[in-house]
Amino acid sequence: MDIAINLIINGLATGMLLFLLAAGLTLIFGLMHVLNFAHGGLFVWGAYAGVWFYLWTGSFLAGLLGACSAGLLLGLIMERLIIQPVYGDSTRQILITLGVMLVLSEMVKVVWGPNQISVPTLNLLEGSWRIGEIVLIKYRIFVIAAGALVFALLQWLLKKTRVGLIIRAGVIHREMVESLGINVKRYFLLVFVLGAVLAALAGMLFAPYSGVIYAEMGMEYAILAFIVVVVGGLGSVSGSAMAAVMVGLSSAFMNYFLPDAALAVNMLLMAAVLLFKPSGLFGARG
Amino acid sequence: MNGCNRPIWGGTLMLLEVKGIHTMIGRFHILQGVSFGVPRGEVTVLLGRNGAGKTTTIRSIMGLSPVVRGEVRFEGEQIQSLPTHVIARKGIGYVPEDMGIFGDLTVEENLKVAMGRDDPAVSDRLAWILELFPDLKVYWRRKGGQLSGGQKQMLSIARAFIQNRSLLLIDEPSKGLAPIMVDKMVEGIRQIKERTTILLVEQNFSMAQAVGDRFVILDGGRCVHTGPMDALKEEKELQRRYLGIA
Repeated sequence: MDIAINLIINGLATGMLLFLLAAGLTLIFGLMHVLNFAHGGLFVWGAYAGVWFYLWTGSFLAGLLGACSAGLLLGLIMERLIIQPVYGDSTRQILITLGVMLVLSEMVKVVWGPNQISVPTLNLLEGSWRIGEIVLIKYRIFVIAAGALVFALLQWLLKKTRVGLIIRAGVIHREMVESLGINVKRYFLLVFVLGAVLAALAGMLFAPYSGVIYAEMGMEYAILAFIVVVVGGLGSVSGSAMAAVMVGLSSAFMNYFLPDAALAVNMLLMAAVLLFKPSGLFGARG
Repeated sequence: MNGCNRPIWGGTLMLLEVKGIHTMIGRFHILQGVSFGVPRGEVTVLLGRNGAGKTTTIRSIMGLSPVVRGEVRFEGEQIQSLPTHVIARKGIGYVPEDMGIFGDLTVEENLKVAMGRDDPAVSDRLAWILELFPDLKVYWRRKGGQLSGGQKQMLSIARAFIQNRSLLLIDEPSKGLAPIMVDKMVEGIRQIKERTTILLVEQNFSMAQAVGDRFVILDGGRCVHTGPMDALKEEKELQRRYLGIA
């Protein structure tokens, strides 16, 4: 029983990190119809920039702010210089964003070296709470809480503000939003930068969770994030949250009981959704 | 003389002037020099068989299908190379064939997307629209995707008209509707006509006759006839040849 509860907590923590990565990805695809394969690169850069600030200042908060700033800056540059010229051309988008993913991963090695970097957990969140036989690792509970907070903030943005209303409408029928006199391209930049910041934040939160960061982790987690986006339904933030929890739990349990098949099971889940419900389990309706 | 190429350009009464527009969709040359005018304060109906280019014409006016040659003038100003949102802000509302409902948004939210910031004139227009289409008030909190076809059409027209529009482009409002809903739609368009100019695409000839002041017949991507609707009622040969009415 205690193993199951620990696995559930691990799964929820992984799920929340995946949600942060997938939320931006799903909105970017839903509104802009851009499959951003460079999203994993933003995750890596968030982790490295955040950890650099964290180790330099000794403040985890400074690390989080550093990661978000890196995401903001990279998001702005990418949308304006790289994504905007290839709107509406999916083949070029895939090739160019894959290329950017590789460049971002390699640039990390140029700036911070090729070796992985160890990341300590901040003192306040080190250790665990014990309830009977159940051990609750503090940092994992923190990650779950942070993910839930971001989810709540995103829900507020999307459901309670005019900007959110237009983003939701644009995901369903972009042409119609333009026909109502709204410049949708202004919202493209906002959504892309928001997605980049969330990916970078996920990278920073991941660093103490894993204890180590490395350049290739972007691709590994981007694959899981794509699975989450497809299972949750392209364009649906709530769907991504639910799918992220499913994929996180599945990864936690499979990694414990049958580690070699962990990724394969999630891939099969994605294939089944694509075959039987291509709009995703929780996709937005047109 | 079919009336399509009359020198209407620069005429003071024309709100919209379409002059020799060509539009490609992929490799296909859909509009091959369409010309006609839409007089202010009237309902002009675009008629023609399937594939004649009616929908492409209003999408071209709206900037959704790029015009490769020719001119579209709205209140005397060229608009054919402007982005869609700028064209809309100049005062053109659009109701697409698929109605463009935001299915996961409520009726209220669908209207709020179009309403913009708080404006007393928009609130007044909303009150008038809800009187015209009371179903929208009844289903205020229902999601757009859960409405009937007729209710979706009402919502789409209301949304396009909630801002001050001097021209409404409406694509096949009677399509797929039950006869009782078509009657409601005819009544709705008659009321809206009192407040704005309308360019209507319609396959249902009886609806076109009921609301239209003028007609434009398209065939093979060209305007082949235009004139007052009353004159078309007598033109059995035109009706047979271009509209398939026996």
